Amino acid sequence: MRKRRTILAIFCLGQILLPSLAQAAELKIQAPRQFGYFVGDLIEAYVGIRTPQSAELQPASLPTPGPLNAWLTLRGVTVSRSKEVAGTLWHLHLTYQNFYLALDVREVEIPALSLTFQDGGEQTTVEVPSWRIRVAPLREVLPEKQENAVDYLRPDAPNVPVVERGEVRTGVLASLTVLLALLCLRDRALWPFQKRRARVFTAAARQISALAKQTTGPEFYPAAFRTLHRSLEKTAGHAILFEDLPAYLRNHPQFAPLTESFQRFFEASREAFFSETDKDLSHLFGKPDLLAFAWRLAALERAVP
Amino acid sequence: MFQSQLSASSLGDWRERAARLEAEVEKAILGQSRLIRLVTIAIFACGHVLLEGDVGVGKTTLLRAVSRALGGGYARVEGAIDMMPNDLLYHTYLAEDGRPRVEPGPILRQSDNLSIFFFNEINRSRPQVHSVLLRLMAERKLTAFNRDYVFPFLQVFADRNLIEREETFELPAAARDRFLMELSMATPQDPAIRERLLFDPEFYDVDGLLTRIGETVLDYRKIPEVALAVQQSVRAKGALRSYLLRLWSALLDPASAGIALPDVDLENIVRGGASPRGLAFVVRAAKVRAWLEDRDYLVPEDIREIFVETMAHRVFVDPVYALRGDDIVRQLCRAVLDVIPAP
Repeated sequence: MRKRRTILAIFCLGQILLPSLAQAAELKIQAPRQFGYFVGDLIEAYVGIRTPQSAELQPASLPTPGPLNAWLTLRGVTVSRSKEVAGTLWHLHLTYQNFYLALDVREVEIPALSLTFQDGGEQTTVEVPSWRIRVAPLREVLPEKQENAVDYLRPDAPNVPVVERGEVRTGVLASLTVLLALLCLRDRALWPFQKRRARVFTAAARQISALAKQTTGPEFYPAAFRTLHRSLEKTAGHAILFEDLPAYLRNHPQFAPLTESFQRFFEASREAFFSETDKDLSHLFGKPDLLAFAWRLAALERAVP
Repeated sequence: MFQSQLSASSLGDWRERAARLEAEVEKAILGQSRLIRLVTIAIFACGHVLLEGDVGVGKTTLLRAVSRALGGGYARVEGAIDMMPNDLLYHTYLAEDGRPRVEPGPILRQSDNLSIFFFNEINRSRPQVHSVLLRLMAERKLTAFNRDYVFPFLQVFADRNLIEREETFELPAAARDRFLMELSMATPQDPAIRERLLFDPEFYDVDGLLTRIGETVLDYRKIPEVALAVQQSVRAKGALRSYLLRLWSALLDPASAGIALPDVDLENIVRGGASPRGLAFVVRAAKVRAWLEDRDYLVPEDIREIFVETMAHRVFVDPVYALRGDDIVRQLCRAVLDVIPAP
């Protein structure tokens, strides 16, 4: 369907006298345009009728949607009214569909219709006159000769959605709403913008604290060290050995204040797992120190947004 | 088992000599510290080395420098398609009296003190030659003139030509497996070093360059004994042993270990080669690295430092990946090291 912003007044019937209503009824018809309709196009028409306030439109007098003649179908009728000082303004929106298969540009007539108003005990009929539009052909009368009959056909048009102004408005509003929602999510650092970092070291610190309560002997150290090693691997994404420590701290600068503790941790871990000498690990890295190290790591991890 | 008589203090002295060896070689070979370290590890593990690298990066210079610092004999042979095993062993010529003579070739002549034997472009020679070399590497012994020649101090360095494929014979798996390491020698990355190599005249004259290296920094005859002492003195604790076993399992079955490589089906990639002997070589080399780092126990870093160079050339992948060269195996080895945690 084509629409123009400018509404063209087809004509106005000023002062249709409704003698029984003892007041003037004013009628006007508007359509977007009078020309350039192709087969299948929708024709929108607006009829405005001003009546005395006491007059009521009889719904039965409204035209029934359906075929009106061989080439015109009424697709829909909507009625609304608005109160005015001088009376009531009735708004009648009519949607026709044109099926006139024109061979040249020609003028056709949209038929007249009658509306009945009841005012008290009296009935009055208002005639909405016929009006004319111009329809146009889609193709020339004699197309260029084609050897193959199929060549007269055109390929299907790409499926371009026709956007109504209302749809555009709805789309814009919906987009703005979604954008606003996304901005809110981003501001609150909610999914999907920032899934909160897994707090690997917090979990490790809790595990080590639980271990410290459960174990009293030297078996605490290997288990606690392994827990921290696994956490380091999780945060780095690959195995981390002692010699990788400088690179790890470069990539995770939030832990830089703990460089010395990291150094001691790796040395103690080396002693625990790989050295042949069975040193007392509590001298290298006491239990309280290890717990403090783990919780400090957890705190620094939480400090990074 | 034979016990080395070397004390801990003399092992310490030998560590200093090894450091001096590295320093002397670095005078002639710029920007190759890690490569020199790996060659040193191979020397003190008594292992043979496959050298790989582009033309003109200094492979021969490196070996001559090492040979000069070690002392002992140095022999070099060029692989060729018409070379036969006897060309390695015998020197045949017409004497002044017109009669043909057969005398020991350069290798046999130096058997007692040959320390480095460089086989250039080994894959240009035929499998018959490879088999002789295989025996020389495995047993340090050759048979010629109806007697055995023993090479107690020999280390074989071989270089593979990877650019041309015509008229080459790929080393059989068994031959590659005899090499302790395969080392890649690349052009140094440091622009300052590159500039020196191009514009400093002392690098134009290799012979002159080698005279700067102190001769016989250490006694090559002692190396087998030192190597044995190193293997006996460096220990591997349980956690380290299980780490290496996990690396081995991951290498044999990468998919189960959670390893992923782009465009590679890891379900059936490894067809062989990650053998017990190969892993034993890894331990040998890692122990030398630990000793050079002044430790008497192994740590995962020792394994990691030498793992790719010691394992990649002895792992054989599905033929479908053969055209992608050795890189895919190196990638696999690195991925295994990244995935397997320690301790």
